[in-house]
Amino acid sequence: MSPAIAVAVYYGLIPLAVITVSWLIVRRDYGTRPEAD
Amino acid sequence: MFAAGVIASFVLYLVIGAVVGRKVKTRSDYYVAGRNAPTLLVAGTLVASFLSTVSFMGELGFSYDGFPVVMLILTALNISGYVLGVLAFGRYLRRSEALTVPEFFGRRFDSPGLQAVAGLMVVAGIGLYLVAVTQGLSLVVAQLLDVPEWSALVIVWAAYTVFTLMSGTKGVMINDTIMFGIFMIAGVVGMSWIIGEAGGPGAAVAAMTAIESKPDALTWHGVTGPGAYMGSPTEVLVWALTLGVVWATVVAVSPWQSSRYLMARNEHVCLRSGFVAMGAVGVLYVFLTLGGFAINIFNPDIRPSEIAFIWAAQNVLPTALGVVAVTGIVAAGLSSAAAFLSLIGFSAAHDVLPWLTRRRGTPVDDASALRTSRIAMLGAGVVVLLITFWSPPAVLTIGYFAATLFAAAWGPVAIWCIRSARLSTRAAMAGMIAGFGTVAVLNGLVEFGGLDLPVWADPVLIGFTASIVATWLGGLGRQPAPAGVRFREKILHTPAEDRRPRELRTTRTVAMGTAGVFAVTLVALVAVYAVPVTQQLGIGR
Repeated sequence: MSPAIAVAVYYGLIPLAVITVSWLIVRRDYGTRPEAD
Repeated sequence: MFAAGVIASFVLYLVIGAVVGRKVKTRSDYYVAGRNAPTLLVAGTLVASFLSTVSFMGELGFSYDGFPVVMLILTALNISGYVLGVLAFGRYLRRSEALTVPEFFGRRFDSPGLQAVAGLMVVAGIGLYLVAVTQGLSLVVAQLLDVPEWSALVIVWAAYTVFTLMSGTKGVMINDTIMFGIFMIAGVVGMSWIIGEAGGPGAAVAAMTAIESKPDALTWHGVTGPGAYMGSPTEVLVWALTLGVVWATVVAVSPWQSSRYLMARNEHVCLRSGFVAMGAVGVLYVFLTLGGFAINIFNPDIRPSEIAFIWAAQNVLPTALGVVAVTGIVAAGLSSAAAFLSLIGFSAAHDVLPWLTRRRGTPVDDASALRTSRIAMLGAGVVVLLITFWSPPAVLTIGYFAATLFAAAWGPVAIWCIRSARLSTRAAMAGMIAGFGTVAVLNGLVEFGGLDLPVWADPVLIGFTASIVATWLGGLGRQPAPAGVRFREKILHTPAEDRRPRELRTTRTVAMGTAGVFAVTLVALVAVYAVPVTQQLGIGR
């Protein structure tokens, strides 16, 4: 892989990884119904 | 035509201020827009407060100088701070129902003194950032209206000061969102046009790699040769990754970003705004960086490089689009300036003055509090005007200096105070002061005293370390304040109204939409940047 392609992939994959991890946290923290308390 | 565009932005700006300002009645209206803002307004103000002349002039000029890909490497980390920041700090800040970020710290540590110190940092740090933005704006307005820089400075300053005094946060948010639309169009369409004028992406890449005065600018390390003022390739990469993390911290905890969550209608609005801001800034920077360097195809000798986009708007873009582009730059600067001045005024009136005058805890009616805030804003505005008048122009340098102060001073304490119950008031005070002081002194010595530090010892990295060490040392032998511990327990509880399945589904749609935006960006970057560059320069570069 050329460095230019590596940079392009990096620019897309870093945010995708962050969004995935963040979504898992959001689902954990906000995914329980209020009546479950 | 260009002058008309600038004047139109000023008029629009003041009309919004006057109309919205008539509805401001309470401190909650003025400081946090009644805590009722939807995703569009919160995302709009997040992006508009972040993007300013530092982006459209300083960072675009940096790309024009030969570092567009370096800027992208930095940006990928920077934008991650939006989503990670709202999860680590922003949502807790909103739950606290504070009016300002320093008030949050004051309540978390049960200390009006800490609130005042954090407030003083807001006044000094954002004041400095406002100097950078004001400098950039007066440079643009002087160039476009063909007036001396001092008179452009007075015009710009008067416009944002009058607007902010009148409108408060709601006006800032509405104005920010409109300006956000204008400068997104300016950045994306303007830069696309420049690439199109150069013959399309393939021809533009061929032309850019052939620019003799800026060789290797499209590689991961940026320009080599006499223009390589950032150092060796390794130093450039370390700088980009370091500043990327620093800017991620800035968007996560800085007062002009995190305070936007205080205005959100609920926590899902905070989360969605974080995703939208991440996507919008991520896409815009692809255009600003690569398009910014493409301006070299038409003129590689624009000085100072900060005015590269303005030069392109006047000389490359068709007049109508050029006017939109210039209006977008002015819009970005004005919206940030208003947000900054309002934060300075709020902190001076709400966090610092009550402590200085020892009137803390005394109830103050809304009319009197609004009057104090406006007087504080006017006073701070006059100081900023005088400093801008006498300081030499350095939009990017001063902007980065001021922004990184908050990363070191507030970053570690903000995250730590949510994660741990054991942090004492003295620990937080020590961490904040050590981070702020270290970055201020070292950056001052680097910029004005001739100090030369290696790239791995960037002042902000030393400031981060100093803040963490001081927080740890400051906490030795001290117990946390009981009221602060109770406050933390309260904000750790997710409110029932934010756990409705319908809200979560909408947030999921926004998260997936943002993921889709980055998947498309990845494919587009490979197709229009990476493959043509590899064909031009060879597989090894």
